[in-house]
Amino acid sequence: MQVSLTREKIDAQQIVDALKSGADGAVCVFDGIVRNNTRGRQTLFLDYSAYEEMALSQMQALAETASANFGVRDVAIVHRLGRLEIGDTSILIAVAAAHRGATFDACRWIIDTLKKTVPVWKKEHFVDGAVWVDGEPFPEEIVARAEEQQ
Amino acid sequence: MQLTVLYFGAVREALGISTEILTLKRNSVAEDVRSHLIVRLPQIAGLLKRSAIAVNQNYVQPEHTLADGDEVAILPPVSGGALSFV
Repeated sequence: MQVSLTREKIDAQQIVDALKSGADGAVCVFDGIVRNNTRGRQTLFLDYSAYEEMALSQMQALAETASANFGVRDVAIVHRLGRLEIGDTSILIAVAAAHRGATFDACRWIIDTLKKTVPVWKKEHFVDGAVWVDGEPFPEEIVARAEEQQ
Repeated sequence: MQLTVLYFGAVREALGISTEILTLKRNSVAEDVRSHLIVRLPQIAGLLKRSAIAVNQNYVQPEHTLADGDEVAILPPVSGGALSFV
């Protein structure tokens, strides 16, 4: 499993090439990119930051849970930090398995869960100001799950 | 008891620091760190109440008992991945 944080441009092709193996029939890729506006307000760039050690352990746990629950063979999750321009990839998730169904399901679950639980934040800079993007509320089970592990 | 407290995102910006050593009485719980911050920064009380608390890089419940030397992180609602507004 490739799980990492980077301040360099994410090379999607390199990640997919490294993930593929002979037993795979499908690789599903989610490429999250910086859009040029939010609700019509023009975006200049985004600045991503993270609680890096915890983000990495949470991403690793997501990759392992996805592999176990969806039966996929391998997972790559790479998140970029720092200043990102319009069109840049902020996150790349790639999932490989023998059949396509599980790869779609696992990929969707990983991005949906990551956005609620992995400690990464972004500040969005507009032509007329900047705001910390307010994430979704934390899921109740995040606290319960953490407590069960102890 | 001494804790290393880490701040992120809008909380870090409001405080003007990313980390500090905080001294609380023995047997304090995670929620006590939040309460302390709300008194210091009432202008971001809402954000602090919506934040999660992690101890030694694991999410904990508010009643989690802290230990001397713990690394406590105040985590505003996260916003990783791509932009979510459609």
